Amino acid sequence: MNEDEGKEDIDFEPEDELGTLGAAKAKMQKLRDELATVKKERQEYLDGWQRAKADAVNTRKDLLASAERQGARAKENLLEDIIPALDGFDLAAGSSAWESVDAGWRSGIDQIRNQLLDVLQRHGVERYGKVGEKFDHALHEAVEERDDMPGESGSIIRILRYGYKMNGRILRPAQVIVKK
Amino acid sequence: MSKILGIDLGTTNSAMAIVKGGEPEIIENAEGARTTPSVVATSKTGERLVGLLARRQAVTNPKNTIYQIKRFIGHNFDEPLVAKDRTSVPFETQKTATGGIEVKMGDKWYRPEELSAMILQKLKQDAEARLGETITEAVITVPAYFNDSQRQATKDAGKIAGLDVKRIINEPTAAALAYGFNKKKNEKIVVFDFGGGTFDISVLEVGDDVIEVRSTDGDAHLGGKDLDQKIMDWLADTFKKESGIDVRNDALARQRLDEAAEKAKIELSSAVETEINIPFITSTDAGPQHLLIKMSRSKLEELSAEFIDRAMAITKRAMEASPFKIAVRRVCRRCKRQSRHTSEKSRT
Repeated sequence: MNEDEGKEDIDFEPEDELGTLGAAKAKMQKLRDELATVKKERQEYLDGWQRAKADAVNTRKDLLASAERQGARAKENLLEDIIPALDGFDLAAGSSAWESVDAGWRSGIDQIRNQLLDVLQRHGVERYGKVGEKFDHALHEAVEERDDMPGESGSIIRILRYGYKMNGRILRPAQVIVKK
Repeated sequence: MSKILGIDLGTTNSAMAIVKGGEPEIIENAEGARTTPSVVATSKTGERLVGLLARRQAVTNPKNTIYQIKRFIGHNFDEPLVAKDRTSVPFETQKTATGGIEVKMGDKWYRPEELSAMILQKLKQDAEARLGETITEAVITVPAYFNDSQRQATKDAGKIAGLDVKRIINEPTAAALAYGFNKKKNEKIVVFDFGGGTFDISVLEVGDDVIEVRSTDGDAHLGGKDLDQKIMDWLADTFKKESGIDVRNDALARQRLDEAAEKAKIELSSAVETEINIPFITSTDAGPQHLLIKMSRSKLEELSAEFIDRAMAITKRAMEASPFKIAVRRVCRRCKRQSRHTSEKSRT
């Protein structure tokens, strides 16, 4: 605000009406009130500006975090869709008929599977699940509990499907049968 | 001002949201999922588990894994519907001195509101971790047919969880608000909530600043899971016809069929045909067997017809019970996770 504009804001009384001390005091009071109003408004605007500034900083942070999360989520979704295909390889290799398949074909298919697993590993995906391990609800999902197979109570006696995790997040828990 | 957490405390799953920039935004839980199973357990090692972790160990610990507690909240032990539900759950229940219900988990007895509080507490904690601030206030949705006792018990659950429950909102009202139906006045809306395990229908009237529930109806045992089961049975039967093998006896095959059934249902919401492909579903002397079945949307409609017809009959009943004539201007469908992808027919 320049000086002229500031002057325009002050409402001067005609000179002949300022003759008495009372009128001067009233004038002073009026100016004080105006100053108080201006100070109050200034504080409000300052608060508003500071809030808007903080909101802008927070929004930027939120946007970055959300973009990061969305990127990670897109990757996780893709991996979650690929996992059933990996299950197919495991089930093929676990099938009783697998041994009767030509050795050359078997090793070729194994190599394709390992290639795929290597790619996933390079992207931070870890495959897990082992028979004999203690059942852990943080990593495993119990599909069945059985008593007719050897093993320690509460331990995994069969892996139905391997678990997959990425950067500590479980993409799919290992689905297991637990010894009763 | 701290944020108010909006909570959908469901029978099968729960969800939470906050309003950000005037729009509701679902908050993911600690496991990164948008819904949290409404399951609570005391593990074999005495640890308290809530949500996904509780569900993962349910098979090994059925007596101490409590689910569908919403069916019991605010009810008396001897109510006929409760008596029926009590017989279908693996955990123990008992009558309290005042005629209410208590459920045994671990070596302690809990009131349904205490168990619901454990779910709410997990949601609160996960939201706090996600948002980086303390949450003390919440609004919780309940079915429109909930009576005062059920509403009070839900409010108590919030209090036990350390939440100041600002409002208990009817689920269909929340759905109507989410769809922006409060902006146009004097509308009559039917909210068709075909959930995972329950079906609720409500007739609402939007007035000046209020949404009034004019009639409600439903089926506490009808939902998307029934559709999944039906598809799964059809797949298993079709496979049996082709191969002579019933794969339903195998735990892994059953699990894979269940997942494939839900996936097919989802795909058939946008495609007219889908292929269900489950390699190495089983193995016989003749070698490995693979399931490869094509499923059309009309097949899905045929399989789901009995459930949709049941739901539509209930819908008609609810509309007749309302003060309005059957001349629906709009039908809104609000679905939970398992059933968001029902057939086109269910959208009409």
